[in-house]
Amino acid sequence: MQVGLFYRERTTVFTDWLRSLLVLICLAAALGTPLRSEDGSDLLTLGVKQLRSGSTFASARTLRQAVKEGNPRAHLFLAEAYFVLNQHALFAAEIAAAKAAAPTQAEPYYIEGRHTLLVEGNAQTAVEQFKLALSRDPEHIKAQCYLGIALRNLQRHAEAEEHLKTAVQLAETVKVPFYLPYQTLAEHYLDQGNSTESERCIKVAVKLSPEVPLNQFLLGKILWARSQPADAVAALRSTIQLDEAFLEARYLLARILEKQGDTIGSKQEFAQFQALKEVYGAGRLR
Amino acid sequence: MRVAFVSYVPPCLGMLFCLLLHAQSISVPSGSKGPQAKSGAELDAFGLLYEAHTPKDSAAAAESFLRSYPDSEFVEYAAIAAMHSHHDMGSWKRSKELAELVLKIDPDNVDALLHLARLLIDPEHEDKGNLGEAGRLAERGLTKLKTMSIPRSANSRDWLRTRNSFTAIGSSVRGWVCFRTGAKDRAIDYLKEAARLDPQGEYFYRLSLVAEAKRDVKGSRDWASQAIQAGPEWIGVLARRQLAALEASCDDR
Repeated sequence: MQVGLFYRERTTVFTDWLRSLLVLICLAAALGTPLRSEDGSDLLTLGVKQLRSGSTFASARTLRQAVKEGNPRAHLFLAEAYFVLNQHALFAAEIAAAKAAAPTQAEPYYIEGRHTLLVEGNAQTAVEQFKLALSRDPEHIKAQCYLGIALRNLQRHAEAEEHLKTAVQLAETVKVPFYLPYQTLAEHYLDQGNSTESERCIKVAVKLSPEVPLNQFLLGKILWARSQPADAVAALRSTIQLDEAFLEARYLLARILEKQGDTIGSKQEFAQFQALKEVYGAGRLR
Repeated sequence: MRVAFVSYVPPCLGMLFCLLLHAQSISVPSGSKGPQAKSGAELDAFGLLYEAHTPKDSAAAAESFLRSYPDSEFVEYAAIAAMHSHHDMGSWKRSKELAELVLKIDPDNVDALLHLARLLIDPEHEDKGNLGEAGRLAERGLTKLKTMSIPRSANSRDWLRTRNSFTAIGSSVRGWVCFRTGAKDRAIDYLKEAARLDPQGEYFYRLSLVAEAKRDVKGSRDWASQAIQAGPEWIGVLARRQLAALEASCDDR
């Protein structure tokens, strides 16, 4: 009896506590108030969430606050936010702080390399930065891949191929669906005249990310080079469906139709190409 | 008060920052240029424009930015946002001042060229003396627009929508200049083109006025009804007034 009473009292207390918690949660949700205090780590979590969801200005604001509150991990994400916002000086300051805060980590060097390669267009320096990232983590898949891309930009094809292949192997080992090394290898092999390997690689890239227009365009280009016009036409039509501004796909499609003797189809595509050039300008691969 | 607010921040402003780092590849032009903030606080102040949900909020954020950072490289873009927000709120004078400010910074800014042309033929502020200037601004804006290419990281649909809305403004100004100089048929063609590219109430309303001048009462009534349907409210008011005038003239007859 006493035990039963004790149990009932305990459960009443417990359910009351649960009810209070529920009310608190509902109240907090309604007021938009966080339940936990926003110390540095909460701000970091919020800032990263904002960054990944595209609220980049808000994320920069939140992450700066996290840095102010003494969270050194926020430097790297703040640098990423400045990268997205195309703020060169602010990026440089934050990436330097991120490297100082975590000197043994690969990620800050990788992000710096991407900025150097993609924004500054300096492949030579980017190569060094990607190598610094890989010296800290040789299994950094994206650093391997972008090192391959940077080396390819420098016409150092053999080295580029080696790093791209490593990126592919690493991605396959850890089962990461990362299409970029396959796409770049496909372009590399096409340039080298190895269309068999090129076709194999681009087909993997398309399988991993069929929604990427450049994957479909390269598939069309490679299949045309390998005398498979019907499949090439299908891939180029997919490219256009994904991205109407991909004028190069429409031009190649018109050329293939012309060679195939489809005069009407070819004329239509050329006319569309001319009309869309007025709208989109130089196209995607300029 | 003009209450319709189609876009809180002009689309070209959105295109400035449309690349995403978490995407597997980024398409940023090599040696990318763009407005650079001198401090995090300046960037935050500009970022508030993206968080505005009404024309009033957007105008307030932009005006505050312009006051606090008059030398910022972002002034042109903040002024564009304020220019559109003030126009949406019915503040013609401030919208015009801001369009002129943008053109002082960048005389080739397509958005400001076309917007200023549009303001000069505004139904409530039209001045015969400004017709030539409106036409010249529109031609300059349309010529400049033709030289623009889609930014590499921009979505083709967004680009098309933005481009169509710019072309529509240019066509509507061309149409109105034609109408005022007596070329009614060409005016109809240009205005129909504008309404096809971007079905805004203002273009339907202007079509209604031109149709009335051509003694096409049925057409004028139809266009006025479409203007009411398309809005915004200030155009609805003008279109309803136009419909009432058409009914009155029919009764008189």
